[in-house]
Amino acid sequence: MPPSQRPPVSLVAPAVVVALVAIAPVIYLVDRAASSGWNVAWREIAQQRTIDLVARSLTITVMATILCVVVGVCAAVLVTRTDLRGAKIWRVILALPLAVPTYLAAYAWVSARPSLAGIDGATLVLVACCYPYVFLPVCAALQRIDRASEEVARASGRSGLSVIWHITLPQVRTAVASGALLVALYVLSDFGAVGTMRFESFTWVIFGAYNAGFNPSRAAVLSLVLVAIALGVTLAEMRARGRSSYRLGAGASRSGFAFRLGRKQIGATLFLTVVTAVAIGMPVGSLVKWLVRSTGQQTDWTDLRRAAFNSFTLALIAALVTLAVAIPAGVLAARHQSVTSRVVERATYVSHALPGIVIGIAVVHLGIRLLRPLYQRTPLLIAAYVVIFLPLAVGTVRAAFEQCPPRLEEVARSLGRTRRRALWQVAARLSAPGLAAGTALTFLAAMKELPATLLLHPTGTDTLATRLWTHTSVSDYSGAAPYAAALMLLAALPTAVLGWLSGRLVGDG
Amino acid sequence: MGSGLSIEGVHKRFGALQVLQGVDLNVEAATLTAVLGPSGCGKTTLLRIIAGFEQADDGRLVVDGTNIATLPPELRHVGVVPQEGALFPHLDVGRNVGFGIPKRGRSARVAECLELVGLAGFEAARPAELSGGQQQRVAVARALAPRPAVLLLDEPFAALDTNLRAQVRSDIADAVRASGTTTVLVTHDRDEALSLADHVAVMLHGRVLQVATPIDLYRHPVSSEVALFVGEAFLVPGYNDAGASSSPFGDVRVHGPVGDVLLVIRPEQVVLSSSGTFATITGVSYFGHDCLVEMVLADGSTVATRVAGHRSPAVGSTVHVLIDGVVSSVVR
Repeated sequence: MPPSQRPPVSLVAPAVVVALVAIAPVIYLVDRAASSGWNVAWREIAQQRTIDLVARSLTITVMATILCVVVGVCAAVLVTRTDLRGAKIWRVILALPLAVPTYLAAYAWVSARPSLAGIDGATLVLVACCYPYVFLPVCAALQRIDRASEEVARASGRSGLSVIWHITLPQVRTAVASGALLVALYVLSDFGAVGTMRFESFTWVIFGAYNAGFNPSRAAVLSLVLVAIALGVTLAEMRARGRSSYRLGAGASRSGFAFRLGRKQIGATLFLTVVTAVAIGMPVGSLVKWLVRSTGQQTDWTDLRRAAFNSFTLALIAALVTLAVAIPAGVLAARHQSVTSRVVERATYVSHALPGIVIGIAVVHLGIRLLRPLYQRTPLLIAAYVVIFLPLAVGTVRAAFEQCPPRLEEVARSLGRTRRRALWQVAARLSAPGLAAGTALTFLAAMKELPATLLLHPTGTDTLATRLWTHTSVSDYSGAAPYAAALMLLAALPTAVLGWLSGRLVGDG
Repeated sequence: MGSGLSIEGVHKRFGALQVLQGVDLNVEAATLTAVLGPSGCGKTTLLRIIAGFEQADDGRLVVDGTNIATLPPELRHVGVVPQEGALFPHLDVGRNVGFGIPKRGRSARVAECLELVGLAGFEAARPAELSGGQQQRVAVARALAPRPAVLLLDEPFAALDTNLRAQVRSDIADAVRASGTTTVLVTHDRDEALSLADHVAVMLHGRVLQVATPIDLYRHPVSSEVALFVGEAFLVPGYNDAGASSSPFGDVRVHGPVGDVLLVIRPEQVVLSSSGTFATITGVSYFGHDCLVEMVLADGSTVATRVAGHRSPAVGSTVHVLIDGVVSSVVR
């Protein structure tokens, strides 16, 4: 039977408020674009260079997304479904590239091989840094599905590969689609890789329009085009996802047999090694090289410690606030399928395609107009982080709550719990690993975030990312190295937790 | 306790589909009523409405003189045992059972309820360590622990394997009876409904067609549909003239509506005998303890009956058959 109960106002109201906050930057953009007149705006859009820009951005988005899906899904299948040696360690290692900021990876590659600059280098860096967005959810989903269907297919004479293709992967379509969505939106909004690789994508040009030419209305118009593309991408994901379903079986899902790799064991290990070398080996190697060179120089330890502390605290606050804010929208999407819940969920996704710089500027304007006392204070920076990372958090909250059968909450209610307490005592407890993973993901992303942080960080409060930027923008790699190393070490911590959690997500169940 | 449940005119529509079209059912205090119906008849929806998981479009649910239809689930004092138990996987058995009761006196009540379902001392076990039948027993203990006014069982034995089912269901029925709780059991299994319940409500097409004790229901169904749903039967046309009718088996005694009727003949009423109508055996399926005998009567109608294994007749032989007892009639 479909859950036909209307969602309570206590859930819808905060969710709608959150959605409004999430689209506030878009409202600002529309206002900005309109202020110079729609004719001007239309002329900007119809220009040949704008059309070329759209084509270029779409090309890199499609390429990077496809490659991320291929790498992420292959790695997830190898780690969860085969007798791959060291699968548990691989699972943590393969999640680690999330700890590498794209600007850092791009610097590493382009300083070693300047010829990579352009679309090839940008794609390489984006795939290396973003495939975990597909790998992690697919791993979790693969562990959740019932093995019986695979075993039946195997028994009916299909080969292992055929079973994976026809039986296993269709069951994790939702996870693949939502991972691909995250990648596509990330690529559209990334600044670090394209900026460093000098690839003229949307974000690069928008940044230029704000900075060099100081043409804010062109920047606003271009940003709106970017939002339109992002909307298209989310709609495509909605169609690709199909209907999600959770397992309602009685007992624990059996940890069924693994597909034997046999002689392919070497090939599989080689594949994962290459992925890791590209995604982690290269940036870490460059970092070590710079560190060695910097040993002669004096490192300002106090400054480093302060920046690390700021990065850590800001990211932690951002992650916790974002999770709290994401819960109503995520629960609404998981528990009450309706037009409202879909619109709310999608609204939170819109901001994910906006470059941090655009959100940063929108928040600056809002700050100056409405919240002047907060301008260049921590709360405003946190607000920008919340808007930027909301889609990540809403997605994980939704996925986590979808895993917990609504029937358990119903039983809790029949035993005298109110709707809210049932949600808290049963669903929230069961989705705790998923929620923790979401928090770790936001924490990571906030720590790596650069453009909005540059714009909004409180005066005198430097973070590792901003210090890193100060040094690298004058090509002082040795000076930047300690900050980069600290950033990656700090970021590796939650990433390892993520990799570990993705193995535990289904927990003892 | 000591309160009955009265369901009055409950309607429910999902989009274009009218699932419940005016359900009326009175469940007497401290009795077990089975709602028997095929899948899709709306019985699970009815149960979810009583529990408060769904809202009825119209109708009343009266417990102790109060209409609970508008209350949220947590204020209804209605215990629920879903299919497959739905134990909280993150809590041990003791905390599952204690979930709905206040802290004071909790451990004593938990122990008492576990004892009632035959799982004394299982407090520390994890749900994942239990068999399907044990999970179901814990789910019943959990639902009974807060002393609900009404207990709802949603096909609680469907997922259990056949060997286990009979034992688990009689134990659970005993536990429920011992607690004196007014209980509604939803099931599509007629043996289960007839053997466990004090009253059986037959539900078809979103309506309750008949409520009766198992014996009355089986002997005196109100329609051919109900007659065929609660057990195997042959329907033969007849004319009930003050409790008697002619039939292919000769004259039989009839209980039910008079005039042109359908006679409901249960296979077990057809007995092989030394006198009566001639019949030719056309097939025998042997099961050891008994066998199913198919035969054709002189007028060409076919019937089947069960006879003890050691009385198995030979195929092709001719026998006499009689109707044992009173047959019921339903309106044609």
